[in-house]
Amino acid sequence: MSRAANELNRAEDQNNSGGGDSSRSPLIPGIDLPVQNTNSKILLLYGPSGVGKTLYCRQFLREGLIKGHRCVFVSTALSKMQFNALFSNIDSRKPVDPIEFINPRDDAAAPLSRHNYKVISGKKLVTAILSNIIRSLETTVGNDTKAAPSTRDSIDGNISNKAVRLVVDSLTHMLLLLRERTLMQFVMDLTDVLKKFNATAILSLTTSSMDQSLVTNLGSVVDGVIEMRLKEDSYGLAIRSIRVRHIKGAYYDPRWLTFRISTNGNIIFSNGHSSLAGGQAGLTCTLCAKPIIGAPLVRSDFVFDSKECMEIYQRLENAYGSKISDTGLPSEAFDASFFFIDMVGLSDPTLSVKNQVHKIEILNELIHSCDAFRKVSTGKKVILPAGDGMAIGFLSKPEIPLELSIQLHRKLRAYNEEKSLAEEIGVRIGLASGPVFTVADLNNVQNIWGPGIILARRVMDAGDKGHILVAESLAQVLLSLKDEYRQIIRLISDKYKIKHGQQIKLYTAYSDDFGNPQIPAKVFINR
Amino acid sequence: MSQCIAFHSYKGGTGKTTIACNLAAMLAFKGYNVSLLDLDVYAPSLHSYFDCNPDKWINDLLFENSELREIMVDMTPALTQYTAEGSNKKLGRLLVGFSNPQKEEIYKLEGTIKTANANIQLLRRFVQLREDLISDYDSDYVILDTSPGIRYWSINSLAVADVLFLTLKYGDLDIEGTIKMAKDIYGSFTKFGSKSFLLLNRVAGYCVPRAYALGSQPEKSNNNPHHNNIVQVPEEGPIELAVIRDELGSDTFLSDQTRMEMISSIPCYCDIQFKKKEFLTVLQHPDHPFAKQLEHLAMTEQIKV
Repeated sequence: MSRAANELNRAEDQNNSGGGDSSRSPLIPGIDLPVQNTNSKILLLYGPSGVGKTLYCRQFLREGLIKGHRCVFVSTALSKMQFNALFSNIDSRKPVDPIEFINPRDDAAAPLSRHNYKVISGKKLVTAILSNIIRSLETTVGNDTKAAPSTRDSIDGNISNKAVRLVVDSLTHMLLLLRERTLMQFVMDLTDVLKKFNATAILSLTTSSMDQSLVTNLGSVVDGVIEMRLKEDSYGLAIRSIRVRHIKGAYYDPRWLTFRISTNGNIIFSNGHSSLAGGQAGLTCTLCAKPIIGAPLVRSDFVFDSKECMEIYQRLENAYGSKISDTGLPSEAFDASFFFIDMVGLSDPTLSVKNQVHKIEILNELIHSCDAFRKVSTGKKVILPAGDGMAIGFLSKPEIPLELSIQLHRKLRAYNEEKSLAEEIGVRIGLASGPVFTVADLNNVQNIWGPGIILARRVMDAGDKGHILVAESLAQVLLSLKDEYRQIIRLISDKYKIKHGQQIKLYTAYSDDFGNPQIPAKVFINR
Repeated sequence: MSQCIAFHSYKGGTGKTTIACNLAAMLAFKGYNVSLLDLDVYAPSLHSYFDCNPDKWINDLLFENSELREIMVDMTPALTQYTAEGSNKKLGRLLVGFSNPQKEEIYKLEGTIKTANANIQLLRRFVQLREDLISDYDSDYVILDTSPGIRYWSINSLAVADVLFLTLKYGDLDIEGTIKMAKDIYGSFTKFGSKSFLLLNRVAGYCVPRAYALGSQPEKSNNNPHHNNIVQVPEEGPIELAVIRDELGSDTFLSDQTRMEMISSIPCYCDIQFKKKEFLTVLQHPDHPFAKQLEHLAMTEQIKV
């Protein structure tokens, strides 16, 4: 299975289990900024039947619940029962408030009979929906202003309050009950109402290729338009994708982003960089941004997936000169230090897959629980998955990788104490530093790459179970930084040969409760 | 193996499009799979040349509004009429991707490149376009008809090509500019694996009397516009590599100045140039010196796949 596929599955697993970073909105290119950084945006979401509009709306509200937003779902098609079923299996981790359901045509409390069956359509329906929405939102404002009365802004007439997320799913069904002109008026009125309530809303519309004029008309009323499409690949499998068609007054990216729908109805974005994957970054080619499978080609401190990409990049670099950034490609380097970890014996065929997965999960948990890892902000660290382990690049203090290694070793010792040999987790760690470059991937997620990562890998490869090995550049910095490091960092080889015949100085870090005092076997043989 | 060939020039009007289209057709006629792309994005003309108004353009692909299969138009049927009746000649395939001539689309492409994030996405899709034509469409040749001069999309087109043809019209003012551009830009590409060649177009020797063209030391005549541009033209067969004799002082002046080999000299073809519409002359008039010379070019080792 490819790395991208692995990441996608991991994203889904985390999403399903609620263990991912679900506090982030789905990364539709260009939508985050306008939706999150402005007071109110009314968006039209359109696409063919079955593409996943309702589930996207569901996810939009689910994210809203997690963020503590007031959430309202308006539908003229769903009954309360159907609505409950739609939202029954969302994993919203203790929603602060239930989602309010509005459908003036559905009265769940009354028993269904031909006497009380509501036939509301036309302007009455519009009035009923708008009244219900206003009532619901005013109730929210009223409740909140009791706690914080100053939040009401009387100058511009806007009510700045608890954020509101509202979904109308769908306008298509309303079109069966309204004339197009009335629908347009409804959308205009709704837009006016929602803007007073700090609301972000999605209005869904099922379209065919014949409905472009409706999309255009509605698009001129709302603040932005999101498009979904459904295609089939050569095997007849559905390929769903989404993009922002336009957003008023904000930068947006018109790229299509493919997604799929998990068995529990969650939207999973592809390309290995789902927001739900916890922001982990894979290694991608500097030029084409494809995930690099196998060993990358490194040139001028950049990484490529093929000789062709490398040559094209070099030609561009040479042609554009110092203005290479005109192409949008990276041009500036900064220093980072790396922690490269590998689980020893993980690929032992006698270990069950379940056991292997369990060990990986435990190791991830232990790393995440280390203070050295936690105290570095998300923007200052990048995690690069790498087979049986991972590389973590830190753009902060150089001692962080060593501190993390020491803390992790102590935690592992405690963990292993009561475990059988098969359950024990053994690791080897390589630390190095060097220049890195930011590389934007297809989702505009900033990755980093540089020769320090490769060096950390080579250093780690020299070690056995329990070793914390350090490359010269980082070791020298650490030795000059604190006296205590002089007691724990020791030179073990001044001419250790790594790949391509390169010779490096190799240091090891150990004490009573971390590291391995033994000379690594490879270093011993290499002497 | 495949070859990506870019036709470029310092100025417009050097005949890039005509040569690119004819070479593409010639190669497809010989059985190769050829993809031809109009990358003269600022002044597209391939749609006029092929009289085609596609639903989707290269611009749509770059902005992710379409798939590759939607933008590549199969022009192979245009070739089949030139096969001899009853012939079992196996043609290759000629796919053409067109650039949108609408000014809004050109502004959009130009405007988008000013935004770094969008810029890199366009560049990546462009790189991917070339790769997909080779890997998914089994193209033996990808031929790029680029914008003249030093512009964003011409530089990008040259960067992705394996072979660069710097086209120039002899006896024109573009020689100086061409030499400067070759020095400034082409070195960047050849340093990293590209092969670049000069391609001289509209060289005297066909539309002027053959005897005159063949004259070893013709007298200068102010009445003859071609008096300084003489090509060695054999009695029969294709015209060999041009040897220019002129007041510039050296037979190899251009090659020396640009440090590029002159791969071919395309003879002046006023008879077809002034036709209302030139269209695949190499197939319509295979015995024309222009066609012969292009056939010779198509078979040169330097672009062989």
